[in-house]
Amino acid sequence: MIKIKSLHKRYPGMHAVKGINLNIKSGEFFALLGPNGAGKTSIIGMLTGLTTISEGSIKVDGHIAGSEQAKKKIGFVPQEFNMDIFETAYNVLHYNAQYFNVEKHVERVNLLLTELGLYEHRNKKVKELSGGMKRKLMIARALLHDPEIIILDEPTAGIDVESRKFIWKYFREANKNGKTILLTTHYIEEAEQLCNRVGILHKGELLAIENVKDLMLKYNMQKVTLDFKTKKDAVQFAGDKYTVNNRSVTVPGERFTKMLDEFTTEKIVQVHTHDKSLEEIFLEMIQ
Amino acid sequence: MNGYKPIVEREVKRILRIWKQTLLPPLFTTMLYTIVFGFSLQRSISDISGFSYIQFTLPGLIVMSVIMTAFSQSCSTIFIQKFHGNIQEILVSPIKPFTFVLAHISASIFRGGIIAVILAMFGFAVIGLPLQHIFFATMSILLSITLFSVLGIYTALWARSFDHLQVFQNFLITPLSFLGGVFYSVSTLPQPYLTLSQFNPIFYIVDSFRYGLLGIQEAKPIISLIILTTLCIVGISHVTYLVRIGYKTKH
Repeated sequence: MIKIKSLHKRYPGMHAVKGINLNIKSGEFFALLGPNGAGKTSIIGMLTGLTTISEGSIKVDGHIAGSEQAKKKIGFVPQEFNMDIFETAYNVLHYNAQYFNVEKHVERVNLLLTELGLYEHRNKKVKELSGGMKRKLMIARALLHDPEIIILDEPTAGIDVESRKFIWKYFREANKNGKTILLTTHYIEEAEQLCNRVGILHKGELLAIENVKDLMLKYNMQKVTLDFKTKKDAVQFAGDKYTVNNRSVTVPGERFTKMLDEFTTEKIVQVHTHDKSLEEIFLEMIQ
Repeated sequence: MNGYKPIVEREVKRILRIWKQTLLPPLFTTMLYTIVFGFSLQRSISDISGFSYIQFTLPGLIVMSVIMTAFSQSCSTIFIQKFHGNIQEILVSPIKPFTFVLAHISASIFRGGIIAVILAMFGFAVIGLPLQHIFFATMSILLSITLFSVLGIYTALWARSFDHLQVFQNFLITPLSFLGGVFYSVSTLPQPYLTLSQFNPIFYIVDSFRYGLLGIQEAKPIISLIILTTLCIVGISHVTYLVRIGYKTKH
């Protein structure tokens, strides 16, 4: 559905995207993870036609990114609020529907306003809406032409938990109904909860593209937390290698057995194992 | 022409919603000029080509108002869209660059047209302005609005701040207006200013509009319209190209 080949983006004095190759299949829920400045927004900009491509290519269902045909297939929810703040919520959708030549656009606008819980706020000006409502309005705007691909750039940044959960549920449902979704997010939990595959992006390079479960298995290797009788025992065990948290020390699972041989088990009162979160894997990778 | 109707509809509603900012000031300013020139200066300035000074000047004043309005319409609305970021709505949509340009020119024609009609009515009713050639009067106004609407789009694309918007207005349009024969007959200028005036597009706009109303001219009216049409075609083509490549709108 989306084919990115040897993609580069150069700004004056900065190489923001360095030869990215990525294929996103139809019906996939894909997340691009990366810290600020990793190149996520540049990639999305090039995909949507908001940013020029320095080198390489992007095809959207066979069409060159930025072409009219490609634009018709994409619904884009940007990170920053970018609506006419003096227009009403209804009018924002009314005009945008016509930009995409949506048939029976009045019905479509009303349907999306209702689905996203904005119908009773339709006559309010954008500047009078809360952050969550503005975000939902941008989502409605992106869905007006019923696009095959939805691109979400930090869709839940700066909104309340309730709205975030609503948006998650909404896009999970959209994905089940066949929409291809590309998400960038700072909330790794969001990627873990929603996505099939993730790409880890750092300083313009893709460090990994994996199925979420495979990534967890590949980089995870269970961690083991040892609770000691006293903090002194914990500190003695940890040495310079590990961090002590109260009376507990967490170590990588693969080294656990060897460690036990080196240390008396009498001082350990409890052992827990747990999986690394995607967030921990992500942080390890970019470090 | 996908996208033409909603852009024009949005702009027309905006013009009418904030009419105190979009329509009132140019009308007020031109009427003020008319009062000053008509009832004060006119007594000390002799008739020009058989018309009183205010009758001679008013066509130029109408043109000045109309081109300022056309410029400000496209310039302010596109720059504000850049400023608020909602120009991205256009950039991610399948609207053709030419449609975008044409829609903004149409909105300028709506706003500039209202100004032109009201001021012309004022001229007919208050100072007895004649209407000799409606075709030339209408065409010169339409072409001048188009030309300065295109200039407004250029400025909005180029501008990075509100200060930049004033550059074209203060250092290009106002001087060209004053040097374009609004307040005097260009033929009275000494050389080389007489020749230089031939390179000022506002001279052709004022002259052809004045011909449409008063029936007097300094250049051949048909030549003026050909020059203005050529400038409009070149301007529209180039600004459409700039919108297509995302000049200062795409990173």
